[in-house]
Amino acid sequence: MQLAARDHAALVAVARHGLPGDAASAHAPIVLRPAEAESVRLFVRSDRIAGLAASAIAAGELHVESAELAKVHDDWHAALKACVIIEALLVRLAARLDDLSARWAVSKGAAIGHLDFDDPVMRCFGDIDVVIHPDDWDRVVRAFSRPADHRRATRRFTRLYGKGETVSIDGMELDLHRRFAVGRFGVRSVMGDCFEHLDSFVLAGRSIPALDAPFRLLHACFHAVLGGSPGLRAHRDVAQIALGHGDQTVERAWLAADRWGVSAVVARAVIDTWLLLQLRTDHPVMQRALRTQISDADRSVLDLFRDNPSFRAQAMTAFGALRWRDRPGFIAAATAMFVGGRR
Amino acid sequence: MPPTFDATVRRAAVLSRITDDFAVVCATDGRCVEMAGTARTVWLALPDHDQPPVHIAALVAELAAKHFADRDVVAADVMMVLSTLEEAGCAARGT
Repeated sequence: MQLAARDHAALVAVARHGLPGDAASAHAPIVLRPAEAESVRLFVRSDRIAGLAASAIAAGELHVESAELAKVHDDWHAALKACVIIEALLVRLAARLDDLSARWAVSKGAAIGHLDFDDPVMRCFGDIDVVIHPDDWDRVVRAFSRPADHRRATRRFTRLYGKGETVSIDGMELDLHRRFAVGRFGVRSVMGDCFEHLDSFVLAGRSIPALDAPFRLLHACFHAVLGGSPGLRAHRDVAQIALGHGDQTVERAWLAADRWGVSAVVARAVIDTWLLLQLRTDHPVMQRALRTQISDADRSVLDLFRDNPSFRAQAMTAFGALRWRDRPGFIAAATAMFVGGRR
Repeated sequence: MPPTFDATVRRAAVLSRITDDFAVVCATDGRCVEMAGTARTVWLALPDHDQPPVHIAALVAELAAKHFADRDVVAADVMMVLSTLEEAGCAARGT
C-alpha cells in the first residue's frame, strides 16, 4: 500500500465533487491505482466523505476497481448509520434543552447536512455540536453535569474564555459550545449575535434550531483553521456554504467577522479551502479573502494553530486580544485551571 | 406466511438516510434497521405517519408484479421486514 496525503488528487476530487456554483472548474477524471486505493479510502473514511466519494465515482470523476467501490459503499453506509444514531441523540437532547427553556442551536454536522446539502446523505458526521446562548450557559452546563464533574476552575475559564464543554447523555458524548474556538479569536466573538436569526430543520417530527447560514459559515471557517487537524470535510463545509447560499450570506458572514475582529479567520479559511480544493481563484469569495488585511499578530496566531499546539498554548493566545484591564482576570482564571492540573 | 397485520405506516419519530441501494432508519431511542434490496423497497413504499396506511396485501401484490416474483415469497419477505421495523419502533400498524 502506498501512503496518500490529504492533497492527493483523488481526495481533492472527492472533496470538491458536486460543489454548487461555478467555482470548481472541470478537471480530467482521475484513475486511482490499486496500490494507492486503500490509503485514499482510509482518508475518505476518516474524513467522513465516503458519500462524496461514491457520488464522484458514479459520476465518472474518479475511477476505482469494483472491489474498492464496494468498500467505499460499506464505509458510507456505516457512516450513515452513525448519523441517524447521533440524530436520535440530538432529538433526545432537544427535549431536555427545551425543558430548560434554554436558547440553543445546532451547528456543523447535522445542520450542514440538512440545510446546506441537497441531500443529507452527502454530509456525514460523527458528533453533535450545539451552541448555547451565553446567558443560558451556566444553567445548561449545570443541568448536564454529574456531581463528580464539579471542576470549578475549568468551568469558570470555559465560561469566560473557553470553547465549550463535552457532556455525556445516555452514555454518548456531545460538545456544548460557549464559543467557536479557544484563544485570541474565540474571546473576540459575541456569541449572542448568533441567536438573532436562527434556521431550523425537522428531525423525527421535531423542529431543531440551527445557526443561520452566515454563522454556520463563520463556524465552519473557525473549524477549518483553528480546529486542529480538521480534514477535507471542514474545507468542503466552507466551500459548500460559501457557494451554496449566494452573495448575501457570504457578505453577512464577513460583516459578523469584521464586527467580531475575526476577518483573518474567514480569510485564511477561504484561502486554504480554495487552494486545497483547487477552486477558481478569480471567484469573488476568494478575491474578497485575498484582499483582507491580516495583522502580524493575527497571522502569527493562525500559524500557531496550524501546527496543532497544546490546549494551553492555544488558550494563552487570548491574552493579547483582551483589554488591559481584563488581563489580570484572565491570568488568574488560567492559572487556577492549569495549576489545578485539569489540562 | 399469512399476514399478522393488515396495514402499516412509518412512525413519526424516525430518523432516516436513504441512498440508491441502502436505507437506514432509527427510532429516537437509538434502535436502527439497515435495509437493502427488497427491505429498502418496502420502506420506500410505506406512507408517512400522517398518510393513510398501506394495506399489506396491496403492497405484496405490487412488489410481486414489479419483480415478477412469487406472491407468497414476497409476502414472507414483506412481513419479516415490517415485523423488524415494528420491533425497532420505526413502523406502526394502521387500520
